This record gives sequence, structure tokens and C-alpha cells, in this order.
Amino acid sequence: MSPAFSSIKDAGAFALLLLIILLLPILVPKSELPPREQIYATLSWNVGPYPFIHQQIYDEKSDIDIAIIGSSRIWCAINTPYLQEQLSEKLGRKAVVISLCWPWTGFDAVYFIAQDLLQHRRVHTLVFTDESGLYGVQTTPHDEAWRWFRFEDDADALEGLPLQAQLTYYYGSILGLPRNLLSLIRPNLPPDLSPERTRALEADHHWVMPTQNLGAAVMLEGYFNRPDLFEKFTGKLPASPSDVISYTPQTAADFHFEMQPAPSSLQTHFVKKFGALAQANHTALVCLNVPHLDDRESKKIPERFFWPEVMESPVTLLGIVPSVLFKGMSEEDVEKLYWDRHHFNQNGQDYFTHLITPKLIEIYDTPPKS
Amino acid sequence: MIPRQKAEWIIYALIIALSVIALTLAFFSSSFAFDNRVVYQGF
Repeated sequence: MSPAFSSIKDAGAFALLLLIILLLPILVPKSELPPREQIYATLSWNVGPYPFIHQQIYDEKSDIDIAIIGSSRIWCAINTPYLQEQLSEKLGRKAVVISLCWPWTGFDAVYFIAQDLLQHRRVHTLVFTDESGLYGVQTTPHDEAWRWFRFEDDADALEGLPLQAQLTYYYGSILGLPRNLLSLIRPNLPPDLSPERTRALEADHHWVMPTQNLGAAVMLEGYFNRPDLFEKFTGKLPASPSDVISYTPQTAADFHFEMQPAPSSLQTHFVKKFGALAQANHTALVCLNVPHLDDRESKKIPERFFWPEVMESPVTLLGIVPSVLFKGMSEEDVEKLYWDRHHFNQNGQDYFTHLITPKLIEIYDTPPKS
Repeated sequence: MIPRQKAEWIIYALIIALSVIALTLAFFSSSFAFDNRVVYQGF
């Protein structure tokens, strides 16, 4: 067998290359990095609606009345244009409402993307949902964290996390940095939003393009990811806006908090930082309960944690008891509101948004005191 | 001057150590999504 290296110099060069790659996040000084904007500029529609997020954070300048922020569950749950229309009517001016959402859960994404947003735009109210994980509390970083986490910028935010979690982010930074550094050599092309490309994206994802809905994902799929089964729901829907509940000592019995959070968990860490970030920017927080299909018979609003306590920040909890939301509906009809067990399709989105909008506007008018 | 044999030993030990570190980091980070095609299936 021939040796791996033809000379000791070759072996030395390989060792040096490995060392440079592993130390890249430390070796490149912060001053030499491309602007953070370029992180979003490198992410295409194939990864998520990051071109829209990029535009909203860096190109738009107006103050935002309500920003819906988080992963696909809340992305699919709110009909943002309807909320904007109703809020505009209430305020007597054109309200600014957007959905700044992406695929995959994790409060780390909420924290880092909210941080970029709040550095560039003033936001009155941020609406989020439980991002701590779909199947139990997620112990790993957001699946796409390696694309947007930069150790040079964000290392301070890791302080207090277990070493393993810190190492994972560091490794993510090794993976993501070369693509980011490429932005120094040549510009990233603007996203292709030609009619052909838009049609292709709509056909691939079975949605109405989020750019046409202030960022919201309007999913045209039937249950079990079946676009062929999607049809407009025309049956009777049982709940009304008066069934929507915000948490107070008087309504506490309508909520069920399932767990006590582990103090050093990754999700707890970032949701706390998210709360502090919102407080520092005088932004009100609303935690909206988006019901899973499996919760449909629940007689209380199921939340994993009591968020104001976990976040150590004022948060308004908002939701509707699932058994009231789906009262009297057959299982088949309930399924017509979802495209999978966790996500509303267009039917569910319209129903849910019409219910929660009046209360959300009421909360907008009277945010909790910090 | 470091003898050639000792230099070889140091470099190979370094390569092994760095490879172990890289593999360990990769193991911790196996949850990252790299394939764009699967993104929206998991949503």
C-alpha cells in the first residue's frame, strides 16, 4: 500500500489545513467578516423564505405593528393579510404586519433572527408560539443554524449553555463560514422571483407564495401532505372570537402547563434571551397557542411551559381550548383544516385567524406592563 | 533541529488528534440539515 503522504511536508501541509479549518471561526476577525446581511443573502428559497426575511430586515425601514415570528407552525397558522386589514381598520391607518417565519423549530432561530430584526426595525408586538420542539423538548440547535450562526458575532449568546451545545454551534460556524466569506469575493445574486420561478416554487410546495401574503405560508394541501385532497372547507365551524382566551388568574384553569423546564436546556436558554431582547427593545410579546391535531379533544389549552416564568419576561398567553375550537366537528372535518398533524392548511389558517384576530388587536392596544 | 523521525511522529499525531476533534464535532452536529430537498418535507 502506498503511503498516505509522499513526504513529511505534504503531511505537515495537511495537518495545517485541518488546523486552519477547525480554527476558522476564531482566526477570522469580526472586522473582516461580511455584513450580517450577507448571511441572509446567501440563503435561497430552497432553504426557506429567507429572501423575504432578508428584504424585511434590511430593505424595509418602517416600524412594524405586529410581527409573527417563528417556524412553520405559526407560519401556517396566521393569515397575515387579514390580520393587517383588521388592524388597519382599528388604527385608522395602514398597519404594518408581517410573518417572519421559516422551516424547523427552535428558540435559537427565534432569538437570533429577532435580534437582527430588532436591530433594524422597531416592532410593537412580536407574536410567537412554542418553538421548543415538536417531539419533546429539542436539545439540538435549529437544523439550519449552521447557515446563520457566526461564532464571531454570536459566541456571547452561548454563555451558560452546556459545552456540548456550544461545540455544536462552533462546528456549525466552521461549516457555514466559508460560504459566508465567499460574499467578500463576489456579490450574492438577488433572489430569482421571476413568474416562472414563482410558479415552480408554488408547485413544489403547494402553497401560495409567501411574498404575496406578507410572509405567511398559505398551504393548499389536504391532510397527510395530499395536495390532491385539498378542497375549500364549506362546513359549519363551531367557535367564535369570544372563545379565545388570554391568560389571567381568572382564566388560569383553562390552561394546562405540562412541564417544568430544565434550567440549563438549550430551549430555555434561548427563550429567556428572546424575552430579554424583546424587553430591551420595548417590544410586547404574545405567545399564541397553535393547536396540534392530536390536541383536538383537549379541554384545556395545552402549553408545554408557563412561558412568563420560563422567559422571566412579561408575555401574554393567548389561545383557544381545542375541544371548543373543534366542538361537534367530525374527525374527517377536523382533518380538512390541517395538512399534517401539526400544521394548518388554508382552511385551518382562515378559521383560526378570524377567531384570534380581535383578541390579538385588543392585546396590541394594551400590551402588558414590563 | 527536531530529528526527522520525531517530526513525523508529531505531525501524524497532530493529524490524528485533529481528525478525532473534527469527527467528534461532526458527531455532535449530526442534526444539522444539509440537503435542501428535504427541508419542506419536515417543515
